[in-house]
Amino acid sequence: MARYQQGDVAAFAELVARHEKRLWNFVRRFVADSATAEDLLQEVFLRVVRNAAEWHPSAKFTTWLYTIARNLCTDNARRGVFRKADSLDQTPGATRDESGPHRIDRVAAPDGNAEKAAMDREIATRVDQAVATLPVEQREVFLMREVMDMSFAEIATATKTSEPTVKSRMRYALERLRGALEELREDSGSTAVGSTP
Amino acid sequence: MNCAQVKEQLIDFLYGELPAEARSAFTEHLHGCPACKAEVASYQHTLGSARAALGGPLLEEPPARVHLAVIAAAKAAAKQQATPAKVKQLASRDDLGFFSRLWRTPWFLPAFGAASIATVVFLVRVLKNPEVLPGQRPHAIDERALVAPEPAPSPDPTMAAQPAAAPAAEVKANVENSLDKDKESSSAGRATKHAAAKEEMARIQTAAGLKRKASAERQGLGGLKMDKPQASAARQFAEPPPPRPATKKSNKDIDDLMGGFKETELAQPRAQFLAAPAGGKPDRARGEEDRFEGKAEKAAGPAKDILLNESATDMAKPARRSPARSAGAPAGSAAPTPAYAPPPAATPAAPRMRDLPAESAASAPAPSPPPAIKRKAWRQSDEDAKGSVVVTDDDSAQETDHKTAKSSDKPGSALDESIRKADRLYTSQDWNAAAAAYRDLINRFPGHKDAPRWRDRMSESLVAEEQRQAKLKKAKAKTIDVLDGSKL
Repeated sequence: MARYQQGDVAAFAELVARHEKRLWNFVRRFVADSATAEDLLQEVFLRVVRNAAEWHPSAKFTTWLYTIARNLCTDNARRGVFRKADSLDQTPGATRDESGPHRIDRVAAPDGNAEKAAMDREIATRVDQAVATLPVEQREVFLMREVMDMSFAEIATATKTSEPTVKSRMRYALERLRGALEELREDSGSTAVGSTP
Repeated sequence: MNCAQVKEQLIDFLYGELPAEARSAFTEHLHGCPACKAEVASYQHTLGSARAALGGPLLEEPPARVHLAVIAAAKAAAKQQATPAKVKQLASRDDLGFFSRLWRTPWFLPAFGAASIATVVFLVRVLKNPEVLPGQRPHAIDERALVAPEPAPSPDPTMAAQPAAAPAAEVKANVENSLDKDKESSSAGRATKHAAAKEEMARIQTAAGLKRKASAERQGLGGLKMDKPQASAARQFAEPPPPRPATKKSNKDIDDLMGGFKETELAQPRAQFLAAPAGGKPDRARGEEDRFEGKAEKAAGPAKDILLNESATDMAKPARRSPARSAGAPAGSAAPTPAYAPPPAATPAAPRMRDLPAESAASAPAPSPPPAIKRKAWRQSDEDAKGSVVVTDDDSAQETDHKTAKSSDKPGSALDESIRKADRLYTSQDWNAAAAAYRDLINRFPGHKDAPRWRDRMSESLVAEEQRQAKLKKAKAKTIDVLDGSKL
């Protein structure tokens, strides 16, 4: 970032390449649709460009960057544009009514085990839906920890809360996820019991 | 550790942020509590599943267009950063105040310097010669200023004023001749003259008209017609002295002393002298001059004696009769009217002690106390008889002649002030004003012992003024010729 402040565009490109994937997944899990996620991701980096002169080397760049992303996402969420989780039956980037290859089909089976692959797809769908239904405060803490790999202290700084509050929100988020996955487990257990002759 | 503490430290345990001691205690509790162990295991499973989903099927690549747009924006911003200095300079220049921007303009300092120099020059010029208005020629002269003063009304109708005006009339005639010539030449070539020359003539004519108007308003100055600054200078000499009830009487006494010697008579030899041709009769003129001088000296003798003895005269004592008066001067004869006749004053004021004989001085009211302002007192001394005056401090004058200084404070200083001004104008070669000042002195104090010197200087001033006027005419004509030649 210091190099970019001196006018080195290549350094900035390196920064973008290093952080855009995490940011994209964070934004993508946070907002409703991919188009909004794209706009938000672009806006995050544009704010970095515009406010590059304000960045001080003593500040950690990732904390600054993720704080910008988090603020944009929470502002977008508070405007009422809540993310509605796309169905795994939906084509990526398309509306629910559009036809095409299902997202779940892109989830590859690691070892060719179809059963396990189907289970993984189901777990991912549940996790995705569960994260989408989390409250904003819990969602941002969960995504910042699991997607952006931020420490609780950094999350507390970004969210301007205390660390115990962050941990508490993290625990509530995990409870919800556990509940969603337990439902899946129960469903799969009952299905297995029902399918058993 | 109990189950509540396990719940509190569950997140730290899941993320491995518990200290080693707390972790061992936590693990130990899990070994002894199956419920806590099952709950912790469920959380571990959920977290594992979420991580697997987020890092596997849910992991997506960012859109490439976002990357390109961001890089393009960064390049554009870097280009804008390349010229921040100019932008900052412009912004700061806009933020500056009016005076700061004015100070930074390149032409401000030269213009300010030039204006300062012009102001200083103007002030110096005004302070150096306050009587001359800026833009006016200090020695500008009107030909009518050379007109001889109107003779003072004489009680004797046989004493014509014509001889008294002879020198001035001669000068006037010469000047008018030159003016006529100039007018003819200028009217003949006026059609072809340069516009600047026309403007110059118009300006001169306008000034002449104004001067004529001003001179018409100042008929009381013995017919002297002057332009504005000169008139103001002459007005200082013509300022009416303080009202003095005994003035008329004193003038009468002086005239008695002078034996009815009139200004016209005094001026006659000079006129004849000037009117005589170069190779004419200088002896006769000289003789007339000598006669005049002798007569004047003779007439002024007693008065001079009185003036010189003034210091020894006790003004409070009953005055003696002057010798001239006691010599049988016609008491009932009409007193010669001075050139300047002050209006009768309602309140008595200090008499002009130098003009008064002791008798009239004694009858005059007591002079007002001298002002507190320290000033120069003029004392007539032996050098004064030679035509010069000696300036002494008021203190020394009081030491030597306290009573005289006290009694003759106001009128004497007025006379001396007039003489000093006339001399100053003469030495500064302000001929017109000097002539007017000397003429005024002669009219006011015709019997003064310096009157011959005043007449000489007045004549010299008139002649010098005439010469200067002729030079100006020549120069003007030359300028017009040059302009005509350049145009042709």
